[in-house]
Amino acid sequence: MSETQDDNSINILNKDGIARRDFLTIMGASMALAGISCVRRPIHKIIPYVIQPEEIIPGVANWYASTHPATGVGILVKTREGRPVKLEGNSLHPLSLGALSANIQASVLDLYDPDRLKTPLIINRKTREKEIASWDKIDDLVTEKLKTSKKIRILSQALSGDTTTRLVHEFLNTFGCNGNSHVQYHPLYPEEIVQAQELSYKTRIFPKYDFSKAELVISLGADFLATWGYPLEQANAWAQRRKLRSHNHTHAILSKLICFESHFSLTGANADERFCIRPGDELKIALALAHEIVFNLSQKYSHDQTVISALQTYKPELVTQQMGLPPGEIKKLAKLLWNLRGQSLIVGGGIASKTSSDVALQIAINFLNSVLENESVTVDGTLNPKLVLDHGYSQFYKLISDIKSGKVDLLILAHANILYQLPALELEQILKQVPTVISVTDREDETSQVADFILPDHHYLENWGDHHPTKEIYSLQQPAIAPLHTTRSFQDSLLVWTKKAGLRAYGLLGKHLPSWYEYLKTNWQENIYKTHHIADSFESFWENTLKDGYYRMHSKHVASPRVFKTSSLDHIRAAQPINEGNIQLMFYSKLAMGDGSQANNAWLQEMPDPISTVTWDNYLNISPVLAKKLQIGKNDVVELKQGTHSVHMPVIIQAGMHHSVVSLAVGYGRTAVGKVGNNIGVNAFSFVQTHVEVRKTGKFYKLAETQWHHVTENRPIINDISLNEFRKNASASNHTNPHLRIEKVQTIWPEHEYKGPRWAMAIDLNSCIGCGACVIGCQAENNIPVVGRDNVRVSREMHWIRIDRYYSGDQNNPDVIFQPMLCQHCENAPCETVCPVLATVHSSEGLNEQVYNRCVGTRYCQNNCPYKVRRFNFFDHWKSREETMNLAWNPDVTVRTRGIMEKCTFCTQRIREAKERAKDLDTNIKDGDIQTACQQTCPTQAIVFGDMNDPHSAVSKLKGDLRAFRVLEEVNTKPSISYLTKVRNKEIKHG
Amino acid sequence: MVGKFLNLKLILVLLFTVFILVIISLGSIFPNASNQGYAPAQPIAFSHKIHAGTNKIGCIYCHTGAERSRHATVPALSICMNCHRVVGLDKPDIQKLLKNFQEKRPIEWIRVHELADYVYFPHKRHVKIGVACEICHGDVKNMDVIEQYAPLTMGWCIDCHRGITTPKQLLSRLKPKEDHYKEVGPTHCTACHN
Repeated sequence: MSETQDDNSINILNKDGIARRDFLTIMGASMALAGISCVRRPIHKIIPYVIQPEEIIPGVANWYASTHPATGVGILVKTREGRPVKLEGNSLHPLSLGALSANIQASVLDLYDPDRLKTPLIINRKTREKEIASWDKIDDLVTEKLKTSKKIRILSQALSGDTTTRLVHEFLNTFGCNGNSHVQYHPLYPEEIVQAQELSYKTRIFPKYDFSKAELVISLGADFLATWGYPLEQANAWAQRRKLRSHNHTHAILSKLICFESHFSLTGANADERFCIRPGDELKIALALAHEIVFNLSQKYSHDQTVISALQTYKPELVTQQMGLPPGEIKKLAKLLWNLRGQSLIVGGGIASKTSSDVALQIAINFLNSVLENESVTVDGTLNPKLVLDHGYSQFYKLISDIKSGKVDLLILAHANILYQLPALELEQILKQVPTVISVTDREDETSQVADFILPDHHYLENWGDHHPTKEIYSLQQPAIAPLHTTRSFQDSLLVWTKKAGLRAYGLLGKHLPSWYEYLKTNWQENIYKTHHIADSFESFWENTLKDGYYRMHSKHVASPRVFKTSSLDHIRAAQPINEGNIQLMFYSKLAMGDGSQANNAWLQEMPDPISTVTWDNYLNISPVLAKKLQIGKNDVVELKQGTHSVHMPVIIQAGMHHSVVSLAVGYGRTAVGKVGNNIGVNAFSFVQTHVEVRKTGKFYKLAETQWHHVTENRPIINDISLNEFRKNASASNHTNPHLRIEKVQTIWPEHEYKGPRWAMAIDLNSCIGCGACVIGCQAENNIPVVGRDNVRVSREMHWIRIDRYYSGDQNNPDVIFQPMLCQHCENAPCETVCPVLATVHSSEGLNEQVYNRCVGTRYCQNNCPYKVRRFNFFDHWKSREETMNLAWNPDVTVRTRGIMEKCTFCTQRIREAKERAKDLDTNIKDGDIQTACQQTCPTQAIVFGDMNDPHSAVSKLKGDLRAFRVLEEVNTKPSISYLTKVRNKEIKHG
Repeated sequence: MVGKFLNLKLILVLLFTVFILVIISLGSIFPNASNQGYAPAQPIAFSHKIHAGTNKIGCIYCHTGAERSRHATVPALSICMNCHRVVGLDKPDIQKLLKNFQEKRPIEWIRVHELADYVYFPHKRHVKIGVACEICHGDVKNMDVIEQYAPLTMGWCIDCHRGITTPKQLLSRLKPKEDHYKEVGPTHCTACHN
């Protein structure tokens, strides 16, 4: 119809005047528009399943129990329509208790990493040409090589799980090699602890340190809340002794943590008392403590000749004097330890201690724990095996010498990225001597460059596996998604090659089971099921274990004390004295980045370091004193030089560092990890932990920090109090002006009425250790975008929850408070009153709601928020999630576009989910039914969420606690979040 | 020349005014861009009239999610195959269906009822409380081609939640327990948006 009319209109137009022409043109246009409005653009399609999988209901999440293989932590995988979108801790699993650390939370993003290797590759080592190959072709070629090779070696990261280790050994036996042909290497492996345990107690184990039973913990450089040992379990246990209740505050009990360290670690930041020491002096302190206890307090070993000769030179007076500690400090500490014997714990070590005296330090610690009767109480040496390599690093160095002398025909590298981790050994040249190198890995990493075959392995969420973290626990790992790419698990490859080779296979391998799954199941049946005399049938045992994610032995483990072998003290040698004036380089591993295997994970790269708050880089930590001496200022680039090796890098002037040390995080400086992580920072592994030269270059580099001001300037933001003050008056710390604490303040706004629940939160600053698990948990749950280094530099990071870190006290060795800061959901919200379009409003349940589709992006609310928790989308950040990464979105949360404001919603989708669950069961929501994502993943249960209109809820009780305060109470915003004052077990000098 | 220029200016001003007027009048003719009445041709001419009307197949038989999930869900081909392995095999559209099933190729239906991305509408809640499918989806039993019956706009949702357009039988059942509660369903933003 419109065509004929259009023709007519043109005719009329020619005859008549302009006005008429205009009118008709518009009429024509309006008709065209009217025509359009009946058609929907764009046309969306619904593509249903061909065959509906039985367990999937679109829109409903399925949860699977599994295990994180590197740490053995039990996880729950939330899948939507068959794809994992979020990980949560398995609350039944003893290693998790519901919590997850930041790097495990972020590992779901690794699954969708677009830089994963998607197909097997054959590499021509001479020309470096790559060829994409099918698995069949790979199998033919590899089997041929395996059959003709006499000396096969497998080098892996510390493998988790008995079944994989068993399979590897059987595979090697089948091809005529013994179990020693399996070599393991991990740069952060606590070799020194295992070795010292062997010398002191004759068992190669990593003992279980039980922080929940320790009234006094002394850490000699061990960052046990972040990276040392089993941080998740340890943080949980330690925090159990840090919870306080004010109703009986006069008799409040709080455990004490004392740290001696050179670098400022997260554990140091949580210490009640912290001493800055020169690296290597940990040993002297341990021995001086032992000296005082043995000769003045215990007398048990005071006539043992080995003990006397080991300790006699370490008189406490001398050591305190040498190290510049307050006089009498060690004697005081020894006395305290002795009084609390059987309730104390001494730990030490970590990557920084990996020097010539690392084993000596551990032996001294073992001795102290034995003398103090901590054996079988806080130290359990009979519960394990935990992640223990059979032969330690010596086996690895033997492998290298074997390769050099041409004794290796074929080398299989299983996730062993040694070219990155050991750049100084020049392994590239050495590996060239091996005729065949097969790399089983997740990406074309640094080490794969020298391989003949690069074989992509499954991500752990696509694979089966098991883990045996303690004697009692068998943990099962099950896939939560079918493989995304043409990958195959390492274990399946071994099975296929054995079958193809047609040799007589050993053990379970001889059964020629069709898949790794069958192998795993058979091993569980034959070993775990049969040896534990389980009453159920195997099938029901297997189903139950899959459901729970782990199996726990019924017989209760009872720890028994071990006898310390004093002869091990002979291994203690005086450490090389460090020249005064030399600068010592020290490594540490960051909580997020670890050993660098997750360097391509943007969430972890953008997670602010708990202490420095820097994202996207590593840097040289340097003390204010040393910085002044070297005339180094903020944002300066320095040259770090060791021998002929030198690197330029930015510095951070970090309070709490010892002036003789500079520290550098490992895990950075990767060159072949992917688009996100390549060439970020400096590879610390290219240096050695010894003295270095630091020189100012005159260049500048702005690090992407998220916090620039480090003290509160006495504003009522945080509160801390000493234990003694707290016992006298629990609310004494509340330095908010008291007249503002009265309930009624004159207001021009009508008060909100709440008929139903009113959601609120309480955060215990005593429990919060600042680990940042909540930051990543929130990021995964709420589709929070990553903005990149440049945007963080101009404060455009998007995290809904951040952890503010405040210093107080001594400038060079400050006290620290961590304060999780998120939308306070104020009763009198300043943001609500300034929004011109009502895009932020108050809900009937006390939530401060942000309505994305109303928001026009004036940013008035952001300016008016005293807590600075609102985040503005300056760009369409969602576009940076390319193919396969887009599968990680949480479908229950809107993905925000450019130009709108966003902020914490108190996980409104989780509130709704809990409501729906309650409605389905026809009940009311019970206290604790709703857990926000940050609360759920917190290892120390510092965050409590609930209904403050219910007087019996946990959050109401905490809000009524004498320690409870609200941030910036004087501005009368009446936040829904209350914080509980941090109590320190020491004397605080205010001012 | 000058006159021509003047005319040109006049034309532009006129054009703009008329354009604005048209936009306003369009707005009053089509009060919302809701796609009410949208009834696109589907890849297979599926008739709800035959299935739900003549053969009286219950809605939940195919839309299995309606009681269990946020999405009512369009049925998987396997559900069609429950009957069409034997029924109507001579019809070309059924043969197409069979072919798709054998090739494991899903049918790409054109979406009719669509809410904005930032809306979280739970079918389950509404079905469980007793909102009949017809209230929002119309007389599907008599639709040969499925069409969008209701406007599906926020105002339309809210009117029902506030008890203004709520069907009587529902209202009597969901009658607020206390007088000051005017609402039948929640009306705060995060009830549907997050």
